[in-house]
Amino acid sequence: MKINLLKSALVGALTLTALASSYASAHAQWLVPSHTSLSGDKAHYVMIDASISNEIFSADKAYRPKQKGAEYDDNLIMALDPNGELVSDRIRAYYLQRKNSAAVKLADEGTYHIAMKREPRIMTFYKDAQGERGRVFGPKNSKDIPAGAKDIRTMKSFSTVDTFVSRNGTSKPALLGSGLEISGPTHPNDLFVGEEARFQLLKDGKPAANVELAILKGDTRYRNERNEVKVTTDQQGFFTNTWQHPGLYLIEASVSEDSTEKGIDTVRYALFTTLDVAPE
Amino acid sequence: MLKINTFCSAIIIFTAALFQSNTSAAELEIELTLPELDVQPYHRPYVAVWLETPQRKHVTTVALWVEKAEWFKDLRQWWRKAGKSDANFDGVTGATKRPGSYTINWNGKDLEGNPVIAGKYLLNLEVVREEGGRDYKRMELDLSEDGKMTIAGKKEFSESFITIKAK
Repeated sequence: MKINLLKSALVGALTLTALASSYASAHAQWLVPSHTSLSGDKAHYVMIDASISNEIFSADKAYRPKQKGAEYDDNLIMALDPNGELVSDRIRAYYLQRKNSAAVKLADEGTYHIAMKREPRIMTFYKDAQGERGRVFGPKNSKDIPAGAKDIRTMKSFSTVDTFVSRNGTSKPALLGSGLEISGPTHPNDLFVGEEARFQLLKDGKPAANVELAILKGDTRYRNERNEVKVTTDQQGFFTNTWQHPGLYLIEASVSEDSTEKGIDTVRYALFTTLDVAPE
Repeated sequence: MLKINTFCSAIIIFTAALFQSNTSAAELEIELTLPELDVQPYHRPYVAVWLETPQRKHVTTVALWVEKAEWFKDLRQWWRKAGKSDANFDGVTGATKRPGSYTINWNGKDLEGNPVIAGKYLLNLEVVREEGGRDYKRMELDLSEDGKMTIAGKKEFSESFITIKAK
């Protein structure tokens, strides 16, 4: 029995790795905050830009507002305040073709956890009668799947796209609690060149062990090599990185698992966290 | 025997604590020079001088020359190690200064008036100018013995001097 368990764990791990690498080429999504550290007694606003792009932090494709043709979406970006409460002020994200922009009011002192508010996406992959691969957004019974399709696999995908901003001091950032996200001990708004940061990767609030992350400095448009740093979380989900250059970084990870949900074969969790690293 | 040893060291620690509680280890004299810069516009820089433990924990701020709290964050290192805390910096805060040489005297006490004990510390000097640059230097210093040190700035402060007067 034990051996069987171990075996299935191994097979699971292999499947996971295979899936993780096969989806690693998905487009990056990101948030860019106008500020990550603010001082002073009065409330501040921070501007958040969101986009989907391959050139990191150069806007390419905006998220479409849920309501067709709308110029903005009040349900695209959310913020958890330093007390862990959802910010109740309206966060209006304007649709600007290549990016969405929203002003977020920081009424309290401490750290805000700002994230894209997104529903899980369901995608179905198949091979048609001629053996060509295809993909549709929707479940197995989607009408766009051609008759005679084979190898039909449905994936449910959760993406975390987030960042952190602190006003007049830092506090322990509130957790989203679902999907992938990073947690301390290092504070995400206290990153300096030459210093080692230590984070814990969480999935649904629990440590995510043996997950590979890519740490990618922004402005990839202005260099020929992406120079991403790959790190893998330990048994408790921890990973470390020493920052080589100041700038905005994107932390990417993805985890795929077999699903127990009816009609879903695979669940995929993706992470896109923006971090700001200061020069010494 | 073990008990006696423990007892002895307890006494030593206790005596040391008594001794340290009313005597600061050293005083500092910092001669800081802000250079004339041929730039338009020129804004007087924000300046912070502070001490940290070798583990980079803020011990005390020696001088803080600033204007608006909104820009305190630009003293990036001071802000993260000291400014964002609840500490009261009123006693060491002054207005920003024109280019020139200034002497900052430190009496060996922290922000609450408690003496800072002998030992190794990190002296931090950070100067940042609106629409200009930022210079930051951190150097080890020993408050147990007399000494004189030089800090070379890159642009926002010129060669400056620190004199340690141990007691």
